[in-house]
Amino acid sequence: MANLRSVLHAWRESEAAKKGVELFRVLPNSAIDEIVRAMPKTKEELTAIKGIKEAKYNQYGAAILNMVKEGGGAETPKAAFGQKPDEITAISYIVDGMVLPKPKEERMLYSVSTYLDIVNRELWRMRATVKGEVTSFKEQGKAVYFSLRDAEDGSMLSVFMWMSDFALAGITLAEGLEVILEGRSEIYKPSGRFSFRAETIELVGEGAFQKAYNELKKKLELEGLFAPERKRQLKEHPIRIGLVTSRSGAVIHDFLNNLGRFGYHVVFVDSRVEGAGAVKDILAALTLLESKDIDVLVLVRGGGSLESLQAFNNEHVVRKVATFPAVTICAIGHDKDVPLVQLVADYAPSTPTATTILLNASWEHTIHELQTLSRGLIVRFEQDVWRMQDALRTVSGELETRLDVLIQPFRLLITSFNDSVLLLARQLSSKKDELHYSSKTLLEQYRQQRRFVLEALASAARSVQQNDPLRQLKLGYSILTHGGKVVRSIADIAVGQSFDARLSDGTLVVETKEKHPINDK
Amino acid sequence: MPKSTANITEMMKKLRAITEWFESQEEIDVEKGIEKVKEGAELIKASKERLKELENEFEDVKKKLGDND
Repeated sequence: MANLRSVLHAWRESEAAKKGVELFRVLPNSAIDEIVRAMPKTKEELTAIKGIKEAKYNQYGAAILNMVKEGGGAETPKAAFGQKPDEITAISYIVDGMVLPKPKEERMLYSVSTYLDIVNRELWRMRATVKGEVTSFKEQGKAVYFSLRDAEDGSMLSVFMWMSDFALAGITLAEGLEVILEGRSEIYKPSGRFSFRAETIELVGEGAFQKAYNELKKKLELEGLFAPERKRQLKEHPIRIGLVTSRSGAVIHDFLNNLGRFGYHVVFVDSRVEGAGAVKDILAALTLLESKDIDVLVLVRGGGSLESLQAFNNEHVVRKVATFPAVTICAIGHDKDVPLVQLVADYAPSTPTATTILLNASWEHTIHELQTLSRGLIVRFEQDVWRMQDALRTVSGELETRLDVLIQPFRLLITSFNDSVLLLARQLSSKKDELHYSSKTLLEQYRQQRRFVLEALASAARSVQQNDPLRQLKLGYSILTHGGKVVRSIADIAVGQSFDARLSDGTLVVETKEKHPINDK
Repeated sequence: MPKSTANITEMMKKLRAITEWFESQEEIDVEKGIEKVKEGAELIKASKERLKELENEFEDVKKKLGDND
């Protein structure tokens, strides 16, 4: 079905160009996909497809059904050409698309229109890039017409180009200028004229590019598009990055590898970045990203000559970047002349790696700042607290000094009181010693006195013993008593009278017989 | 993801405000200072954790020349 799809795409492209509208306005991609899938044969089947309503049917219905019929015809060759294909031919239909089956028996008769359609479809498959000199250039309405002349043998190719595509190239054509065209050929059915329908046009040669570059640069500069005050500041901690570059090539890897891990969300749109064809691609990518919520647009590619970088010096691309809603970073490797997109971009680092450094900067700064802060915040507060502690110490020291002055008399009192108590204690202690000493003396004196008394008593006892009358009685003495009275004189007793004589072992009762006084005086 | 980054940016803003507060104080209010230090420490911790979690995402968007994107 590749052929039907291609046919529909080609048809849509020319319809859109004729009407000067965007492709989806003729038929959205989804509708084309659906037509290829459903192969509608009737109005009902066609209008059942989303995106094709009554109005669209009235405009394009017949053409679409016709294309489906022809495209589908190739799929069922039996119906179209009355011939049952073997398996190999069936496969070749699918692989090659519009290979014309050769009728073996019947001669095929085409109407002019159908034949041209078939030829045009064949031509459509032959996309080519052609180089030559411009001649007989003219603008007419929505298109430009000119011829391309072979510089060697003067062969001519008539060229048709939609004004919109031509304007995109941003070049001015002059007689004899060498250009490179990219596109397909077609026979214009109303006139039968063969022409090359160019999609892109680019100038050949450094000189031409240099001239175009200088002119555009001067023009944009005059408009103030490069002014420093136009530059916007990249926000802190960018996250959503719209990335436009080629999927193939080292640049995207350099960029992604050096992009730090900071939770970036990269919205990537693959785009050609080489040659004139890159212009459409980049513009489409930028248009797509304009509607996305992104913090920053990154447009990168590796180095190249002025010629290979022409898309980045294209007026449309440059203006699109200049008016892009988000902050723009363009890193386009270059030799001498700075690509104009770099001049209008908010940032123009030299390499993809430098771009990542720019994007990472605020993140890395934050990490560093966090480290400093996590130390600094505490230290700062600590210092404050220390300072306060110092102040407190000073104040409390002063208070102490003042208090000292107040307390001093009391302190003196206490000291003298303590001294007195000490003195008293000492005195008491000495009294105690004294008492102790004197009590000892007293005891001694008492003991001595007692000894003296005892000795006196003993001597008295001895003398009493010596003078005991009973002792005298034992020695032979006796005590005479009369009427209870001791008889000391002979006068005390009359002769004849009795008296008691006390001896040591008893008493004798004696009678006086005579008296004999003693005269010894 | 954009929500969490807003957080980092927000948290950094708050942290810077705290630093400025400390710098602007002639005579420090200890009670408030403790509060700020506590808040700051929490913000630092949260920010560091947030940074650790961050992973990049890659979204490959196809542009369709014929679609109304």
